[in-house]
Amino acid sequence: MDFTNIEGYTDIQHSLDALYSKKNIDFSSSAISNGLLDELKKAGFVDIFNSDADIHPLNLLSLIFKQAGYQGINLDLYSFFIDIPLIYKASDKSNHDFLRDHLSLNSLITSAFREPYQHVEEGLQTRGVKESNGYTITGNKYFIENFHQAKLLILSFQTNEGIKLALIDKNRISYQEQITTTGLMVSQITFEEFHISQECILHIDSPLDLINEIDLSQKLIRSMFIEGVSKRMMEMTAKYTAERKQFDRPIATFQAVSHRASSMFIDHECLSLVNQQALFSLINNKPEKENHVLAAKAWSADVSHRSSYSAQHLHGGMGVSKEYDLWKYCLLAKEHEIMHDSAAVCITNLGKNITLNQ
Amino acid sequence: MQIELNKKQANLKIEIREYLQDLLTHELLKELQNPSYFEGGGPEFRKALLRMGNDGWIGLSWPKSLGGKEFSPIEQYIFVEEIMRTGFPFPFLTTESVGPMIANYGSDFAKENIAKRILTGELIFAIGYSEPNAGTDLASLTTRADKSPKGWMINGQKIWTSLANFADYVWLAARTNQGAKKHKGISMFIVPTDDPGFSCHPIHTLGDVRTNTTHYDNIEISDDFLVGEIDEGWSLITSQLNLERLALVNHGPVEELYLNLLLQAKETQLQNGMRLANVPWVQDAFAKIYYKLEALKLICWKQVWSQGNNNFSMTDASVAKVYGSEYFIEAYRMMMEIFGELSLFKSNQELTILNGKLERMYRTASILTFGGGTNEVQKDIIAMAGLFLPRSN
Repeated sequence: MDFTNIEGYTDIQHSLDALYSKKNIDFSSSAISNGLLDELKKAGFVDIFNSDADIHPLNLLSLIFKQAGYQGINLDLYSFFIDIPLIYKASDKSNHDFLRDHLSLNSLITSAFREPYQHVEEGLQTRGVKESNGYTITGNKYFIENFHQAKLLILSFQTNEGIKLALIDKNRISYQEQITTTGLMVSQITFEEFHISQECILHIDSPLDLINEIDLSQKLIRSMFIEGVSKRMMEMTAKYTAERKQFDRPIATFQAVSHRASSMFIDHECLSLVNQQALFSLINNKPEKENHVLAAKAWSADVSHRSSYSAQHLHGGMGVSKEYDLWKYCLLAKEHEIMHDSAAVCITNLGKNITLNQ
Repeated sequence: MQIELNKKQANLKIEIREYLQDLLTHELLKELQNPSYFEGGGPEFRKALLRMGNDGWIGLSWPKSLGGKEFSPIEQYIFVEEIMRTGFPFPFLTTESVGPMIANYGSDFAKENIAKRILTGELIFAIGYSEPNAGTDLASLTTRADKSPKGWMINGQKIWTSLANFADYVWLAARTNQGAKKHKGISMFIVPTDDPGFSCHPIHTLGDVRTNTTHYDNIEISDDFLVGEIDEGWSLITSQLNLERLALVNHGPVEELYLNLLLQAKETQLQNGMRLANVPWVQDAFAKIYYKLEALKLICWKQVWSQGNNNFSMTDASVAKVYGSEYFIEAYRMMMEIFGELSLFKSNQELTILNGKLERMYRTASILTFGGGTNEVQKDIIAMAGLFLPRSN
């Protein structure tokens, strides 16, 4: 048994911290428009899929996102770093050598996988009807990252023959912009009898397995992000309560305050451990990987919620003032708590898995 | 025993609801969507307040001798509930808390020129209690009022002075006796915000609600602006805070949100033909929101019923404040879980839930756990006054 894994990569952590802690990063702007993706590329983090690297890509991604969470960076690169590389890995590369252009930032690709009410629906609701040379698509996709900067879009849809993924030219699609609770802009697309030619379909052996792998990876990396957010909220709270005096003493010396801060610490420890277990299971393709990831996302959603409100409460008015950085962490915590399934959904799905002996 | 509103109270509820429907014009609702006017202060808000004053809907708790309606605590609660359901930022602290104190304890000048104008909807107050180093330990405040040839000279700084950016006056706690024990040397003043020595700077918050730091630089006011006895302001502060606590956790707004979301869940048909409201875990979540909401409503009702029987309990006020403020956070979370990622979108967008109302309310929820007396202090009060436990250090 060895728990040193992620914590062993201190050089990488320091390098990421230096990159993220630059003062000119606008909280609500995309990581592409504020130059962060370029910086990550310059520092070598975009080459994580190089097979010669001595760290597993998921391990490195965990660090990239966890440290972003710790530094309060709104890193909208989940599609960039997770969806597109996993699709490439699973697809017939001879036909679609798109990853190289994507990672060179010359021809960015984004993905349209999320759908409204996906948390209570089984399977994909975007449908593709087969025609002589392709499919006609009807459905609704949202939370599409960096759509306006992408050149291509990968779309998932359900057909009578199973799930299909298509690579399509972004310019063919009209979209709407939506602003999320963190102030980030994402896009929404409504497909109404939208035609896709057969040439656009990606050749993938098992699209359902791929979609599941993407979903598990998204959940895990978002949980890692939350781990960074909750760690920072805990540290800010510890510092503030140790310094803030009321009744002529630091408020941390009141037992009610120190106990609530201690609960944040316990929460963070639990989250860190279930995250590490989920990462280990996913990297090693363990049979329990789905349950471990669901447990990690359920924990991270709970910790997001509890740490955010504990931190705000123990800071008093400072906790909600935009003159102090905690507010950014609270918004990031809520967005990641709900994205890719809340605790309620993860626990429900975990319950189904357990009772079905998965 | 009658655990429901009586006929007169139920009719009052309908009367208020109908009145408010008429009051909330399209222009006013549009103005209230503007973040600059979330807390009121805009021209349409001012117009509506004047109309309420003219129609006799201000000063409900005031004695009839002072021009009020002398509503019972239950009737006042119903009024607060109905107005909070609409989202109209009615200035309760001015009308139902500061106003009656000025009418009771103010100078003849203040009674005539300030209290009466509160009743007509002309004046709004901000509350000037907290300071950078005096929050939970409010009695350690250092803003001072020193005797001057014309009356009093005010100097100091306040923080979290909500509404100060458009208020006409600040209801200010200032130290008038530097040698007395900290609870003993505080007095209450009415400070005009148009004095050149007054300045106000915004603090923008997570919930998009603006609050302020306010500075008082050699503001000289006459004795007419002192309320109550010199050095005896603490009791006015604590009685005002006790009244405020119940209004903070009125069950109306969250019940309104719950009912609207339940309706939306019933109407939302999923692709598999099932309604969102029929998903088992969603039903479970709605049930949790409901049964805890019932407890909040009953806590509030019992408290106003007790007040009506001259049996106000500080413990009950603290129970309501702790339970209500923590419930709001839990309820908003469950509501967001039900609607999932859609609940993350802000207002004025196609896919948003209730035009972003839920998204905004979750961001404002934490303020109540520490505002109006932090919950740890309320639990100390419950332990001492409810359980008769030894006082904590």
